[in-house]
Amino acid sequence: MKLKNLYLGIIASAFLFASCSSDDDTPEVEVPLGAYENGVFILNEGNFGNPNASVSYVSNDLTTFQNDIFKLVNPSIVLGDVAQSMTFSGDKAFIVVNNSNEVEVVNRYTFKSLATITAKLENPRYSVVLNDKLYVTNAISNAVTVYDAKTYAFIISIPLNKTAEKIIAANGKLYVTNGSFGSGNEVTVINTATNTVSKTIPVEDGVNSIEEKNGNVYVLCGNKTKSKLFKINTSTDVATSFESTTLTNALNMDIEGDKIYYTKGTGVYAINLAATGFSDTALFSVKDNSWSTFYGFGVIDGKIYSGDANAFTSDGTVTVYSSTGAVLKTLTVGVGPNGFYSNN
Amino acid sequence: MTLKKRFAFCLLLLCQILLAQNDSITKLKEVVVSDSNLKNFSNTQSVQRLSDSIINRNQPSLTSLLNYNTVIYFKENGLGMTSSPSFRGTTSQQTVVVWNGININSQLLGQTDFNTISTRGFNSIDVKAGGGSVVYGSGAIGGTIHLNNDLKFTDTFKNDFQVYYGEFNTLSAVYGITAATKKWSFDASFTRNSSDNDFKFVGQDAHNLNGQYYNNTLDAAVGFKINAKNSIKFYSEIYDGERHFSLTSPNATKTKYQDYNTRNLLTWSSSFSKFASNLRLAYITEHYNYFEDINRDGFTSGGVKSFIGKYDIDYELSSKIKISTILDYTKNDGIGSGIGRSSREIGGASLLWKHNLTEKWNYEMSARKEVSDVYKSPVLFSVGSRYNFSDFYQLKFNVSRNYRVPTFNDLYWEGSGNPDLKPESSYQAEIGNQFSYKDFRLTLTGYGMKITDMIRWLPNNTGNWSPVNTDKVTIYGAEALLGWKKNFNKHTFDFSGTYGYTVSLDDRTDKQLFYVPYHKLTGSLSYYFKKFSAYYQIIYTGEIFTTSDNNPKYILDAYNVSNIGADYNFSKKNTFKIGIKTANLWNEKYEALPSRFMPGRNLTIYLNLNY
Repeated sequence: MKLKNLYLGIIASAFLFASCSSDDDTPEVEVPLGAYENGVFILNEGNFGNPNASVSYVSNDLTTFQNDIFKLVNPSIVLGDVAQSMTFSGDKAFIVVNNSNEVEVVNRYTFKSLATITAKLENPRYSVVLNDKLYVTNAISNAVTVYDAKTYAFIISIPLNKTAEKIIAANGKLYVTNGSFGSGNEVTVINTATNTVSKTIPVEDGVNSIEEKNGNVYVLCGNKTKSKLFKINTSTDVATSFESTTLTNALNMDIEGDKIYYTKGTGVYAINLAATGFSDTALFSVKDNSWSTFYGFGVIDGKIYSGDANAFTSDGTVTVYSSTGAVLKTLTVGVGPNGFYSNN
Repeated sequence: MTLKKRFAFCLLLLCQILLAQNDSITKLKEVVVSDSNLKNFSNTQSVQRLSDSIINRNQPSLTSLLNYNTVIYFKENGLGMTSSPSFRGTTSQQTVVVWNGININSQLLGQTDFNTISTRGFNSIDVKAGGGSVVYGSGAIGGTIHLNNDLKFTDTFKNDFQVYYGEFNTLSAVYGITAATKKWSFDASFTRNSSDNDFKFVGQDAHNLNGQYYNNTLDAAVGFKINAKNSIKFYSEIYDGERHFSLTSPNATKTKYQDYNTRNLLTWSSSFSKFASNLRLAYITEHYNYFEDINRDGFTSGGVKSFIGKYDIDYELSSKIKISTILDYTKNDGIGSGIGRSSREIGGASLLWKHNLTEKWNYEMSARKEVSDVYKSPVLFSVGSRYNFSDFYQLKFNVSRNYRVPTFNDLYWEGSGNPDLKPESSYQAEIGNQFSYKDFRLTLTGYGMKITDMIRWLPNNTGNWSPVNTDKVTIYGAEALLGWKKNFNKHTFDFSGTYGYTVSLDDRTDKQLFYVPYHKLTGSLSYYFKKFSAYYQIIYTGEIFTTSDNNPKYILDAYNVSNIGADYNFSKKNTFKIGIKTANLWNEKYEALPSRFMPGRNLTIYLNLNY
C-alpha cells in the first residue's frame, strides 16, 4: 500500500537524521599554552542568562592565539554568565562575572584559578585594586564592595545609592562613574582611608569612559546632542572640560601614550592629551556591520582592537587594525567580546 | 541505555505502522462552540483537536500539552519557566493564542508565555497550522492555538475533581462544575498548580535552584438562550501566578516574576433564517511585576488593558454560498516601567466568502484591512479550496498573507523603542492531503512561506539596543499527523502521532534560524481494557542550532523523552480513577535551551473524581 510506504519513508528519514545527529563533532584537543604573558586577553562576556563567558588570548605579535583559555586551564570550573571586566594586580587577574555574582581570581600568567569571590556581590560590574584591597562596583546594591586582595575576605560595603559603574584608582582615591547604558552624569570620589564618599563631580549625560593619566582623570561623556570630555585634577577634584555638538555620541575612550582615542559610530578618532577640542575627522572607519561593531574597543601598543559582538547570535569577531586602519588580524573569538587587556 | 531507548522508540513506531486509524472530531449538536469562525472558515487548513482526555493526561501547562502532541517546538527556559513556541519555523511572536475567539498574545511582548496558560480549565484545545491573520489578527503566521470553553445546553449537573501530586512537591488540582438546562448553561473551574521544582540535574551534582512556582486559574462560562433566535454567553478567566526564575549559575541573583491576567468576553448571538450575527465585547488585561532581586522590595511592572469589540454578520446568499463580515475595534492602553503611558487604536474589517461548488468541492476567500493610528497595515487575505476525491482522500489548498504588528515594547521602550517600525509580513501557501479509512486518519501537509521585515532587537553602534525591521526568512516544510483507533474485543488501542520537518532559512546567510529543529516527532499510544487504561508518550526533537552561523560547537543534542502512565476506574457508574505516571521514563538528560536542564525520571500519582 502506497500510503504505508510514504509514512514509512518519512519515519525512516527521520531516523536517519536522528541517528547521525550527534557524536560526529569530535573536538580537536587543545592544550593550555602554559604562559599567557606578552599578549592581550580578550574578554568574551557570553550570552546573558547563559554561563558561556570565556577568555581568549592573542600574543602581542598576533601570531599565537587561543580561545577559551579559562576552561582549558581550569576544566572543572565554569567561568560564568556575563564576564563584564577584568583588572590586574601583581601576578593576579580579577575577572568580574556580572550575572553570576562572582569575581574569579586567576594567576595572570598561567590563568590557573586561585579563588572565587562571592560575598556581597550583587550584579558586579567593574573592579580595581588599590593598596591590596579589591574594590568592586555593584549594579543592584548601588555600592562598592571591598575585599582583601590577598585573602579575598569581604571587608566592607560603601553605599553610593546611585549607579556604580566603572571604577579607577588615582592619587590614592577611587573614581566611580555613576552612569551606564547612555544615562548618568556624575563621577563619585571615594576616600579609601574612611571608605566614604568625599565628593560628587557633575559631568555630562552619557558618561561612559574613565581613565587616569599623569595624575589627571579623564572622563568621556556622549549623548545625542553632544560629546564632552572632562579632565579632573586629582589634587583638587576640580574638573575642566571641552565639548562638541557636531561630534555626538562619543564612546570608548582609551588613552595610550599621549593620545586619547575614542569612537563614534563606526569611526575611530584620536586627539592629543593636551587637545582642547574633539576631532571630527576619523583616523579610519570600519565596515559597518550594522550593529555592535565596537562592542569591545581598545588601543594597545599602537594597535587598535575592535570586538564585534555579531548581535550575540554567534561567536564574536575581533579585528586588529594599525593606527591607519590597515587590518592586521581577524580572529573568531567567544560570544560578545567586550574588552582587551594587555598582559605584559 | 541508549540502546534501550532506541528500542522502545522503534517498537512504538512499529505499532503505529502496523496498526492504524482515526479520531474524527465528533461535535455534539447541543454543544455551542465559542469560536464559530474556526468552525466555518478553516476548512482548507489543518486543524488538530486535543480533547479533554488528552488535556488531562498531560502536565497542566500549555507548553507540555502541545510539546507532546503537536509539531510545535518550545523554547522553554527550564521546567515551568518562560516558554515560547516555534510553529512551522517561525518566531515566538508568530504564533497566536486565541481564547474563545479572541487573540490574547501579550501586547507588551507580542507573544504568549505558554507556561502561563493552565490547560485544565478548557474543554478542548485546537491547533490550527498556518496563517490566520484575516480572522485572528496580528501574529497568526505560524499558526493559532485555540482555547475553548464550549457550553452544553442539555440537562446536566456534574462535579469534577482532579488532583495530581508528584515529585519535587508538584501539585496540580482542579475542581470543575457543569450545570445546564436546555435554556441555561454554566461551567466553571478552579485550577491550582504549584511546585518546588528543585529537581536534580541528570548526571550532575547540581539541582535546579530558585525554580519554584505557583499559579491559580479561575475559569467561568455562562450561557443563556433568550429565545430560539438569541443567546447570550459570558466567558471569564482570571490567572494569577508567580514564578521564581531558575538560576544558571549558583550565586546569581534570585529573581521572580508575577503575572496577573484577566479575560472577559460577552457574546450575543442571533440567528434568523438567512442571517446570523454575533456581537462580542471583550476586556482583557495583562500585568506583570518583575523582581530583579527577591531580597529587595523594588520591582518593575507593566500592563496593558485592551478593549475589543467585534461584530460578525453571516449571510447565506444561497444554500451553497455563505458570506461573512467581521468589523472590529481594538483599543490598547499600556502603562509601565520602560514604556510610560501609551495607547493605540486599531479598526479592522474582514470579508469572508465560502462557496460549496459541489458536494465535494468548496472554496473559501477572505480579506482584511486594518487602520491604526500607529502603523500602516497591508491588505491581508486568505484563499483556499478543498476537494473530496473520495471518502478515502481529500485535498486542501490555501494561500494567505499575514502579518505581525510591533509590540508596545518595540514601539515605546524608553530610549530604545522605534516608532518607525513596519509590521512583519508573510506570504504563505500550503497543500494538505487527508487520508481516512475507517478509524484511520493521516494528514500530510507541505507548506512554504516568505516572511519579510522581521523585527529584531539588536545592539547598535551607539551602545544601545533597538528594534529594527531586518530579517527576511524563507521557510518550507512538511507535517504528518496520524490518528488511529482499533478495538479487539474489549481491548482498545488508540494511537496518535505527529512529525514535522522544518527548514527555516535566513535569506541573508542561508542558514537555518536558530532554535528551529529540522525534525520533531511525537507519538502517544493508549490502551483501554474495561476500566483500566495505560498510555505511553514519546517526543523526539532533533538537534538544535543555538547560533545564527549554525556553529556545530554550540549545537544542542537531539533528545528523546518518554512518559508512561496507567490508571484504573474503581467506580461503576461514574469516575473514581486512580493513576500513576512516570515522566522521562528513560531518565534522558536534555535541555531545550542552553544550560536549561529539564528534570530526569519523576513520578506523579493522581486521582480523578467525576460525579
